[in-house]
Amino acid sequence: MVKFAERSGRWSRASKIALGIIILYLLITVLVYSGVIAQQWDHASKDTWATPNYDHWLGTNRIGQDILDRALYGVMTAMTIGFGVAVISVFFGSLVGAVAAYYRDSITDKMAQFVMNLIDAFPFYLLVILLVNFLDGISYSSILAMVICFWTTSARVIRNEIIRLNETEFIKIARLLRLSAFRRIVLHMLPNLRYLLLVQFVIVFVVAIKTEVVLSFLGLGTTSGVSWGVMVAESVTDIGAGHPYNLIVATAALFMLVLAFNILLHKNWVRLR
Amino acid sequence: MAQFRQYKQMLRQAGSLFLLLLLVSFTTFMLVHYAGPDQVFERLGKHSSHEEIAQLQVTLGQGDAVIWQYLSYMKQVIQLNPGVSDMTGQPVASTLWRAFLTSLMVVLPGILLGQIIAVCMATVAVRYRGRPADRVISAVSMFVMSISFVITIIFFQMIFSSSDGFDLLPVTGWSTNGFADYMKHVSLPTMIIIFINMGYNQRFARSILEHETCKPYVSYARVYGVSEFSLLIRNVLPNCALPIAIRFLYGLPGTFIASSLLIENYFSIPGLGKLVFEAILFSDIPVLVPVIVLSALFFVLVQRLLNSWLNRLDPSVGQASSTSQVL
Amino acid sequence: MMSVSAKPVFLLLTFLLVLTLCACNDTSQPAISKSVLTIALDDAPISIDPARSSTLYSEFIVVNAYDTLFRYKYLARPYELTVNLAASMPDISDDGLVYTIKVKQGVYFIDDPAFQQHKGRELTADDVVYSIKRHFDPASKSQGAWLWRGRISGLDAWKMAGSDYGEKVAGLKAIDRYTVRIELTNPYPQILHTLAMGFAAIIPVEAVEYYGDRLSVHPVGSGPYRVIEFNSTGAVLQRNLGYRGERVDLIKEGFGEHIPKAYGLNLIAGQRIPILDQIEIRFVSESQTRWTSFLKSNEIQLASIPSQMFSQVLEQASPNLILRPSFAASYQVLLTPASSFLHYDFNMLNPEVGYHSDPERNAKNKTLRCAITRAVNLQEQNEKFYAGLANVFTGVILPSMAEFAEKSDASHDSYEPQKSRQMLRESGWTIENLPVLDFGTTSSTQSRQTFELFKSWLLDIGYPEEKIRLKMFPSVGAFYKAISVSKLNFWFTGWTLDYPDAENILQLFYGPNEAPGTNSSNYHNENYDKLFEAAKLLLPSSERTRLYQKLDKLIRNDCVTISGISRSHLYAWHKDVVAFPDQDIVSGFTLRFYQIKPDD
Repeated sequence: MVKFAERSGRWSRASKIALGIIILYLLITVLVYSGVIAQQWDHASKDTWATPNYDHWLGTNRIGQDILDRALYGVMTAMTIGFGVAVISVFFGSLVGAVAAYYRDSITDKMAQFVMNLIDAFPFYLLVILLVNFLDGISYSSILAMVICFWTTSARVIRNEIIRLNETEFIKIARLLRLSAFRRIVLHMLPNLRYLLLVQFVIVFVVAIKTEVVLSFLGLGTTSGVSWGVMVAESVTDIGAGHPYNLIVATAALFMLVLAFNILLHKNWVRLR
Repeated sequence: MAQFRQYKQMLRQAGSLFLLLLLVSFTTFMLVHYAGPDQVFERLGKHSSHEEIAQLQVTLGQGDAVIWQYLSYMKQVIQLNPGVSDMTGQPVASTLWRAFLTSLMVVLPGILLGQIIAVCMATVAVRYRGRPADRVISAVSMFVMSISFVITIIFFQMIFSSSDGFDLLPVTGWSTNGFADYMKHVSLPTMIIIFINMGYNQRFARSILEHETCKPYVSYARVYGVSEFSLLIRNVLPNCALPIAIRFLYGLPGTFIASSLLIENYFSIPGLGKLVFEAILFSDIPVLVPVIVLSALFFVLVQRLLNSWLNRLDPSVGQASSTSQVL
Repeated sequence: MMSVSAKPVFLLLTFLLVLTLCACNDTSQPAISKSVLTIALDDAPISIDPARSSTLYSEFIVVNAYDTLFRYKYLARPYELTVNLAASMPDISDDGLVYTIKVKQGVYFIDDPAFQQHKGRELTADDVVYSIKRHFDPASKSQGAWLWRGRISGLDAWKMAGSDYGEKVAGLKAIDRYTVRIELTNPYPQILHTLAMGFAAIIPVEAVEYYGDRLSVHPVGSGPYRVIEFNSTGAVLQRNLGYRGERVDLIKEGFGEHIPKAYGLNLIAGQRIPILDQIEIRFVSESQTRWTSFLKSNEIQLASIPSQMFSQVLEQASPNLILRPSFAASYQVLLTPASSFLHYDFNMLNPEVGYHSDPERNAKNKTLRCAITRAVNLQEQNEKFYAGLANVFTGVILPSMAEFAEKSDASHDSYEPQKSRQMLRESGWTIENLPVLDFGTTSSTQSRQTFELFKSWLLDIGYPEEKIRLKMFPSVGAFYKAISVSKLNFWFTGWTLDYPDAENILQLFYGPNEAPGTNSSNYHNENYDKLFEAAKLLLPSSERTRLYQKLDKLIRNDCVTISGISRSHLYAWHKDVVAFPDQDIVSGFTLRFYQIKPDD
């Protein structure tokens, strides 16, 4: 017990920093979205491959775009994709999971399980690439593609957990009190599920922004705006020519966010146990 | 009677597996058909005419409804003829087999070694639980887990292969003329894969090991003065081997495809990942469908294996059903 | 209990390990010690079947595995044709319609299971006839039929009648074992060029019947090399031991003052063709990887330098090329204009930017196109992407061509953003009524950057940001399709010349070639079509030059395309290699002349 207290104390400093990073990123997202900062992200100046200087704090890329502005815009892209994918897939997954658990062993449950099995049977990267290709032309196609791949995990976890909770004493009592299924699930089970949902959310968030980098790198990423994946893809030519700033900045921006989430995840993991 | 039920159960399992694979193939077919570029335009030269387009459409059987195209493809597959690649005209079976072997050689050493190294790290971490060694390993895992695969590839190539770095290993290409040559080419992919999977593997192994050390037999052994390390290696580790191995197999198709996809495309190695990515861009259905269906089959079989193992651990599940689940 | 149930898992693991080991043994071969050269190509050919050799990369390999009647001289500039399989340059009738071509005697195909007793048989005039006919057989899915469509009398009719090889074609026949007679419907001055292309490579009927679809990876020809390995990452060519024992005649290859002495080309004089025993070609599309590999002493020995590296290699590019000393110590380079150009096209059939039934809107659209033309700063693109080494020019005739003329009226379509803004304002274009531009391109990092650069130019003239949209296509096929079905109104693309004649560019704007043909901008101008029809019958002459320049001017006047940038290739090779790797037009014909300096 003492050990556990020690550890949570140690992690809390790290998790404060992590939380700080996430709040900072959220702030940047809001500022970029409302047009306060990073509005010059696509402006091609005459200064190509500039080293960091007064006008361009982190230098410029091959066509003279400001790397800082692009990285900040990339924050918004990453947060949009991360939150978009995580919120939708966890919400949709929980919904399906709850319905399947409620109608356990019915045809609805069987169907839901079959669809989940079908989606999970595909190798993840191939399915995402196929879906992005398939949904080409629809805005937010990569978010949609990732949601289709990710919701199943949440659904499974929630389904199993609700089935388990159903067997616990307090839900049995709730059932005896003739509380409606909706109330049982929303009022009594959800609070018990919150850490699980949070963990799911963070996992999906992290995987989503990492997947975005891979998709952009393979040339299947977003076509409007800029993302860290786009910056990494650009940097492949840059580093050869001796200009590593694009890569360093994009890597650092991505690393900090993912690290922050990983730290939070670890903390919640401990608490979940 | 019990036997009859058992057969029925087995049949049902086989049926659902078959249905699943059929749907996987159908979904893939449809996704590729409607998503990918039009075969006709991939094949046309830059000087084309309406007449040529019409002719190619007929040659490629595009005049038929999609569902007929699918059925005629399946008919061909059932006759054990996976056909020829649309892109290269090569027979699919031999192309895939060769690419698969290449990928196996590129990727498997990294995946296996990565698993072993991660387990070793976890053992050390559990042995020195809470001490600096544990904390360092945990921090390293966290660090590694936060780095993108793509960035790892770029950095490793810069460090080990470029003339700005150590200039040790080949940058591109793949050849296996003897053991030394193979080692030279496989080193970089192996290091990258070990690096990228280390964090997740270490953390999983550590949590399993830690859980196991809480069991009573460990305490008894400690009381009898068995040294901590030999206890971990002789008793705890073997008991944890199964969940670790099962998780490993569970993730194998995914790790395999992801690694070979990115590594082979970057290092231009003629393996499965490169083949499949090109096939997606070219909408090469005869190549894609078998790859996806086979990896789905592998995944489902591993899943069944996992279920059966869980069932055995749980005495409340009937013995009969658990045997039938290993298909 | 647990160890029992773990068995299947370990069995599977063992199985996988064994598989790896098997795979290891499978591919190991003894190392070969001969004169071996490793070179890089910028991309992989999909097929090396002559009928499908539409890309530079396919052709590069095809012309080494197969023979063509003619080829380009190794060193002569401007490019000049010479005999390859043909015994002599053809006899041409006075009206320019009948070509009689003698084929060399005693040329054999390589030994291959396709032939009886696996023994290569002699190549005859019938094979030449068959190889061209094959493009008109739907079964071969040819990409090269356009070269001779409507040109050779009776050939199109032969196709209509069902492509029966038993049937004779009046305009294409073997009059004896070693003589081919080609009769044209109209004069076709470019036909000799077409016979030097990969499409015209001579393939034996036995190989087509034996290999079918597998021809795309398994060539059976009579060229200087045989392909012993070919996949998506590389090819290995090995000397064809039965290749006719010709020797290098430097004078005939056009050796002269324009070839730097330092290249050491006089070393190859009198050598037997092909000089090298084995050539390994690697297809490396990732330019950074190619470069890193080139810099190592034991990997790629000859490659094109990616443009982002130019500044690291060159001290100075003009007026004369000076290498950085550290680079010059170990490498040779050649800077040569590419036979291709990059341009931005409008879709003339799109009423938003192209032709419109209302004459007033039609004129307004033209002003819009011309205004956008002036907003485009090709020089900036050149500096940012091509280190300023590309040629920026106006019109569509490349500066490397004889017909190119410096434009005295260059202000017409050069970069002038103020003028552009003024034109938009005066012709009534406003932020509200400007059309949405869908910028189409194939998917790549550089395409995306090109788009962002283009966007910044348009923002400069006040074009609203939300009306400039990027449409990226994952493959060339998808891009072609979008253009062919007129889904786009604007795109960025390039054109690589099939042969060194401006006719090959001017046909891009010839009305009847409209999409899905090569006139993808769907330009229709009666005057242009008439002039083009007259010009295409002419042999090089001052009259033809005048017509070409007139055609060029028409295209510029109508602002159909924003042209252009003609890149330069910077080839580099290790000093122990003797080469002149101008690989665009001379293509794979260069390979047979490459040599590795013998150790002293």
